[in-house]
Amino acid sequence: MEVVLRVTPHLIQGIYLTLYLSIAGMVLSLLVGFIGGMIRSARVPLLSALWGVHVAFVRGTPFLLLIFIIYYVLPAFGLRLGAQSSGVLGLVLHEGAYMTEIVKGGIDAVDRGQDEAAKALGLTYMQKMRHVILPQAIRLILPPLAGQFVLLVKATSVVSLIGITEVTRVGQQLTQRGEHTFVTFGMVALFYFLICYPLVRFSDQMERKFSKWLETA
Amino acid sequence: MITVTKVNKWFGKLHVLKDVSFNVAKGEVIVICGVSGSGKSTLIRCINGLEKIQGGTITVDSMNVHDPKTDINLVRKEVGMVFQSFNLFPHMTALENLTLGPREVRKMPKSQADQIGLELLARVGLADKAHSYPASLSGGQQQRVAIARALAMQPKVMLFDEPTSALDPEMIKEVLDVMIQLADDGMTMLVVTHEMGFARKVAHRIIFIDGGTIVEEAPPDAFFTEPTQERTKRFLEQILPV
Ligand SMILES: Nc1ncnc2c1ncn2[C@@H]1O[C@H](COP(=O)(O)OP(=O)(O)OP(=O)(O)O)[C@@H](O)[C@H]1O
Ligand SMILES: [Mg+2]
Repeated sequence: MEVVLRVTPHLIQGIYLTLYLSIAGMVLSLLVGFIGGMIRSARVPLLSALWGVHVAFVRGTPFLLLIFIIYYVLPAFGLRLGAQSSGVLGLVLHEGAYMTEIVKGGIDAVDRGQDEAAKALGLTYMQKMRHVILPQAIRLILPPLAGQFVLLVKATSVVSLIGITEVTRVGQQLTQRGEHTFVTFGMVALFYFLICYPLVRFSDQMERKFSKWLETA
Repeated sequence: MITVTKVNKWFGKLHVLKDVSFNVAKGEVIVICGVSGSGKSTLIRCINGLEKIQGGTITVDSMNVHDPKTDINLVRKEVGMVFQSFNLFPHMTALENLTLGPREVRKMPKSQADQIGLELLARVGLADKAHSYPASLSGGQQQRVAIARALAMQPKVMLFDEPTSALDPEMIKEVLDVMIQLADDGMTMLVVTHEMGFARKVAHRIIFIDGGTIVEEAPPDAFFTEPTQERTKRFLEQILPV
């Protein structure tokens, strides 16, 4: 119990950073995911292809490598970012790539007739997306998106390797100073679990609800 | 109202429309018929720019539809379209389906759009279905909502692509009745259909298209009783009860 009281203030510092990375990462990668998904789905020349290359890169290489490239390689090209900004950028580029594919999949799954009916009314692309396509695509997008959020939260632990003292790193430092390893890492694990498990449940429930909707449709 | 001049259209190597030309005057009802794959859908989809053309010109209300300088949405504002598969927006009620276009495209206030929407639903006999979702409507009801949705934009022209082909026989009449009424009210209409009874009753002209070419174009009387082309005769023998 003493251990818990002693490590908690330190862990809270780390939790604070982890939450910052997670929330900034979620908001920005969501934005990237939706814009990227629309660009990919609409096959915007050049942009779509370029983003496609990025997606392939992200899928085919470890996340840590992306973080290292941003933190250690970009400065050679004149782009020097702090550790936290590098961490967020890495998360956004990485998770944004997967979210792009999720959003694209959702948009492409909406019946083509919906697209045509919306166009025939004279709706602009944005009006069509907002009122007709995305409200229908969202059922398909939401469950995997929640799953992707879970992966994002977990991926924040990787950025400790460029010297960001998020919660996992704090745990490591505490145990190196001789704190009880089981209790310390147990508390770190509990933190991740409390954040991630509700998202996992939400994702599963949405998935189940959606498949029912598909069956009845 | 509509001029189609020497239109050519390819899907890859497939030449789907070949030098197609015809005009539609204001208030005219034109029926387009032909066998499956002859290019009927493609032709009317070119008129509101859902398909691109590779040659010729199409104008609607003096707007050059396929000119890159034309804002296609200005054309689409004036051209209503009804699809074989209804394509209602499933996440919106019947009334919301009707008011989306007027509110977003015509920037109409909600109260006014609702009022026009309710009047139109009454006109197609569905006043009591305003707040129903498409999934709870029969096919015939859905198609009537789809017609009302197109009309809610107050278009100058209405395009119909086999509006009754996906319907059970007992529902065809309720949709045709709405279309007949629309024709009587003076709407300019371009209708792809196999409903020859409808064609006989309301069409001013019938266009028979085969292999992407207009083979015959005549008023219903002449079309049914004295077709000039061999291909038209064969087509009529196939579809008309002897
Ligand atoms: N998007 C497309 N890509 C390639 N080929 C197409 C496309 N749409 C139509 N076609 C082809 O073009 C030809 C004309 O098709 P269209 O749909 O206009 O015929 P239709 O007269 O409407 O037939 P139906 O009575 O079956 O509706 C057909 O051979 C069809 O296979
Ligand atoms: Mg067709």
